[in-house]
Amino acid sequence: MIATGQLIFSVAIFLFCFGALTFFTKRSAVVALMGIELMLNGVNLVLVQAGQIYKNAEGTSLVLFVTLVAAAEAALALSIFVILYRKYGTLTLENFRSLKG
Amino acid sequence: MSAELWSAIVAIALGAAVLTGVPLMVIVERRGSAWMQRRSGPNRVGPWGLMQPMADAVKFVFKEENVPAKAHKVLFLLAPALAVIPPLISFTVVPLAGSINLEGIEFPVQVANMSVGLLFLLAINSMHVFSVLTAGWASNNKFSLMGALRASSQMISYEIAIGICIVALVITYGTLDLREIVKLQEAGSSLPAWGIFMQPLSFFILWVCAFAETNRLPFDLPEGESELVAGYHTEYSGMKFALFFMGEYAAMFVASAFLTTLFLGGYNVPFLSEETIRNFFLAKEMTLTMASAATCALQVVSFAVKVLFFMWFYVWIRWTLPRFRYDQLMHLGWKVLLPLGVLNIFITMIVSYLRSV
Amino acid sequence: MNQATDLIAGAPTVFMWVASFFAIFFALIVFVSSNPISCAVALMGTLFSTAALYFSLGNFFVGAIQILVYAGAIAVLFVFIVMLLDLKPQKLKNLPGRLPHFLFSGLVAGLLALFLFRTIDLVPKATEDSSASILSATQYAQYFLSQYQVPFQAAGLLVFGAILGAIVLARGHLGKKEHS
Repeated sequence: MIATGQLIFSVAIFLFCFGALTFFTKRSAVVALMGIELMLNGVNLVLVQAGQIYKNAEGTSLVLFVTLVAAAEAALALSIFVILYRKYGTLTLENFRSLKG
Repeated sequence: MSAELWSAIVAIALGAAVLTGVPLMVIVERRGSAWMQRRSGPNRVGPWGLMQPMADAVKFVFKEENVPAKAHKVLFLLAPALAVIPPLISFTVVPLAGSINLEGIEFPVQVANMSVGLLFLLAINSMHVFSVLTAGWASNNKFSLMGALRASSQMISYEIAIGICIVALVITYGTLDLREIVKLQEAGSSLPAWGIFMQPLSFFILWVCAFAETNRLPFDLPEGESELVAGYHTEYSGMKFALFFMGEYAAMFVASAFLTTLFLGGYNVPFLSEETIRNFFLAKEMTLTMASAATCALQVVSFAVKVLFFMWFYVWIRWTLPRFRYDQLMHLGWKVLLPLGVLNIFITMIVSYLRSV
Repeated sequence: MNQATDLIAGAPTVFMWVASFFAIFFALIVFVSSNPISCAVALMGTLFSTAALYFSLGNFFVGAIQILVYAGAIAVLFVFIVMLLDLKPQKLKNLPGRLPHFLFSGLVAGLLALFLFRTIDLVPKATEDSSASILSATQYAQYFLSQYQVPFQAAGLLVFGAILGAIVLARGHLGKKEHS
């Protein structure tokens, strides 16, 4: 029988690793960003649970900051994607090589 | 009796009440509109046409379930369910009456007495966009997609005004607990201590937003039939369409309950606190359980009357005002309601500061 | 043991198991699915299941914020963008050439998971007194307006900057003529 803490941490690890895998392997920029959101979500879960175990406010306060930054990041990244799509007609990451020297 | 069992009982009763209220509201709307337009309306099925919704339901069940060939099957089937579930979930945090005393323990008449009820209501409300967007896209129809885009941008725009108003309300009440908010509106000498007298501007903005959030006239641009056939549910037929219909009415009920709880004193009977009513019944030689149950019954009736007032107002507005143009809608949301909401926050801050010193 | 301690050291409830299962299941779909719209909807499912986990841990405020911001705003934004740009499902092109890439990603993620799973046992069990572990909305407000005042203001500035940035990015093409 496992304790609740262990279950929550396991879920968080799964979320983080699936997020990382998504970010590494997907070719679409939007889906890669979804991977980042998944990773952030896993971290949030750990922070909440650890904040409850260690009885301090930093963990859960940090979660709210992470949420806030994630929202700002998603808004900016998605508007950049819209511009990229307008310019190149695709969001496949391999096609954006113009920055290469 | 355990708290879980009590919650389950309240949840079942509430679900039954909402799911009965929706068809009743449909017939009220149809007869009411007929009355306003000097028609008869549906009056053939049952006494005064009251059984018409039953006939409609039977018709919906037996209609052909159509799924367009190029639709995204899973999302197409998911969208109607997503339209009904969020309004039903949001009802769980609405306090329906005071508390019933059973075997010496006070059980609040509410499914989930959540400490962040107001925030939860707002959060679940934001899920409604998702069903509209999914329905519009999954149908693979240009009218559906346009309706969905209109609906989602409209709902997101008006959600911001709602959030701004809620900030002012939280400053006034100092809590996110809906039951406590209702309790704060209990007393009152000359006027009832209702939120509408403390936050009139906020009430006005939220009321307008309630129309926009539920996509009702004068803001029913997403399904403007003269331009978009039927908006995001163009391709839906049979029971799936009925689910959208039910979702719309359930959302109207939620918005009405929300306004009632925040501004019209929730379940409170005007001028009478819960204790006064309970003592009145106790003086009639009732047991404590009976007296508390009678008090709750009275309060539920009071709550229902206030909610039905708002519901009737929906019907009233719908058959009185014409539809807005889309740019007017956006103008109203962003350039009128949002600045008014911010102004309201400033006024509330100054007033609460002056009251605290 | 009080209730808060029970929530950490005690056995998980059925609700927690269900929420955990759905969180992992939808995360897997985000990874496996080749259709961006399925990914977006599955992401929404994961975010919602995580909110359910927060609720089951008794942390209602974070749960409500999770639904409001993540599931209600970010996930809807993703769905909106995928639908607006009409991104098509992507085939696995040039699979043999990309195989080392996949293998390496899998290896890194697998090792990471292995390492992280080893650390679970290092987490101490909850102690008896957990009365102060779950913050209420009022306590959050007090923290943000006293101890975390500076980060809070900085976060506000960040969001303001993000709003301005998004508006500039979205309207930028109106100002100057595009050559291509």
